[in-house]
Parts: sequence; structure tokens; C-alpha cells
Amino acid sequence: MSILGKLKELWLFMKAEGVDELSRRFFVMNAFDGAMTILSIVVGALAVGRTEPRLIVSLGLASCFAMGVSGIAGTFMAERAERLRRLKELEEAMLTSLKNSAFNDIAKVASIYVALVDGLAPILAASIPLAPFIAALTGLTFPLNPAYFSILLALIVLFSLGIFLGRVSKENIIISGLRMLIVGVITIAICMLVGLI
Amino acid sequence: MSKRSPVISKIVLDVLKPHKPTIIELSKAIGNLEGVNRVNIVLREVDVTTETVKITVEGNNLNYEEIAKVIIHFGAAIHSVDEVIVDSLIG
Repeated sequence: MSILGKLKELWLFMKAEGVDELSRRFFVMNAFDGAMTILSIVVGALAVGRTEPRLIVSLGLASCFAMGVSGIAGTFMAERAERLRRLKELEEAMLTSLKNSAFNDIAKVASIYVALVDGLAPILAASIPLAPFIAALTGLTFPLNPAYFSILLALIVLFSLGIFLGRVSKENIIISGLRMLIVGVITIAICMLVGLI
Repeated sequence: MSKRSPVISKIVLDVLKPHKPTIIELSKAIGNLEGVNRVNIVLREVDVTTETVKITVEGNNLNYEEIAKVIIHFGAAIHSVDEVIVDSLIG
């Protein structure tokens, strides 16, 4: 069987075990976390007037790293335990060992796959609003404070996640996107207020 | 005396499998094996997490071990071989 064929078969079993749905949920939840974290850092920094690119990039990358490690390690442990439990339950129902079946491989592969999605989603979502500050660090000049571009990008990420969720739930994607956008705007308002204390 | 070579042309299996992957995916995987011309899977009993199916495989020179390997790979268990048709070719 070709590599593509093997991957297709692997995905078939992952779907059978609901891994696609789980990873989709983790992707949105953690990408949301990533975008929100950077949004709050930037808005907080803007409120106190400390938007030096070096500071924001360092804070942002450290947060990305922490979210990534937490996502990968935590999810791998939790998912591995759940997968092994599920495998044992299925073995009990089948009254046979599933050692030679694809379900045994899936128990291992699914934990790694879900952990990677969980860990990389916040890094991906956080790196987009961090981009203006990284660009500013490399010497690029902006007509306005890069923080404004960063906030705009974070809101675009949130809106896109809303659209993605709208497609998943087969609802109106614009309304779903706007719903996420409103959450972002409320976060900005709260962060501004906290920053003013 | 001419040499005879018996080959399996039809085999019927009683199999217990998890609900997913579905019988469509299982039948396609068996259908991909060499010598298989037709796969027929009939649902016989549904339980909470498992289902019992009757798998009929027809073809030329079927390889039972390969068919069993695919079924086991799909997390299913062969409970019994209910029918076999062997063609005895004179070669």
C-alpha cells in the first residue's frame, strides 16, 4: 500500500474513533486561547503605554511556548489514558484482543495527533497577531503603532475561527464570526479597564 | 493422473465487529484483495458497541488468510466459517 493509501486508512480509523471531531474542537478552543492571550497582552501593554516590540515579542513568544508545551504534554497524557481505556472497553465488548487490529495503533497515534493539534493551534493563532511586532523588530516601520495592526489581526483570527465554527455547525458563518468578534471586543474593553487601574 | 489444485471461490463468514469503520469501508478493503470479485456484507444483529455481520466473499483463488487479516485489522473477530465453495481445477 502506498503512503497516501496508508494515511487514508489511518484517517478512516481516526474518524471511526471520533478523533477528527475531537481535534477540531481542540483546534478551535486552543487557537482561541492563543489569539486571546496575545490580544490581552497587546491591549494591556497599549493601556499602560509600553508597546516596545521587543517586550511584546518576548512576552508573546514566551506565552506561545508555554501554551504549546502545556497543550502537547497535558493533552498527550490525558488522551493516551482515554484511548487506552476506550481500547480496553472495545476489547471487552468484542470478547477478544485487538492487539493486531488498527485500533491498537490508533490508540497511540491519536494521542500524538491530538496533542500536536492542541499544542500547535495556540502557537499558530498567537503568531499571527504577533507578526506586526516581529516585523517592527526586524526594522519595518509602521504608519501607526504596530499594536493596532496586532489587535486587528487578532480580531481577524477570532472572526476566522467563528467562520470555521459556523461551517462546522452549518449555521450562518457571518453571524458565527461576528459572535467571536464580539467576544474579542469585550476582551479588549476589559483589558483596557484593567490596564487603566 | 492429472494434478488437481483446489481453490476457494466462495467463503461465508460470521463476524463480530465494532460499529465503525462501517461495513462499506470493510467491504471495500476486502474488495481490494487479489482474486476478490464480489463482497457482500449483511447486517444480522446490532448491539450497543458491536454488530454481527455475515460476510460473503466470491472470486478466483481466494486467500482466506489475507481476508482474515483485513477483518482482524478492522478490529473484528471471525466467529465461524459458515460456508466454503472450492473449485477443483485440473491442471
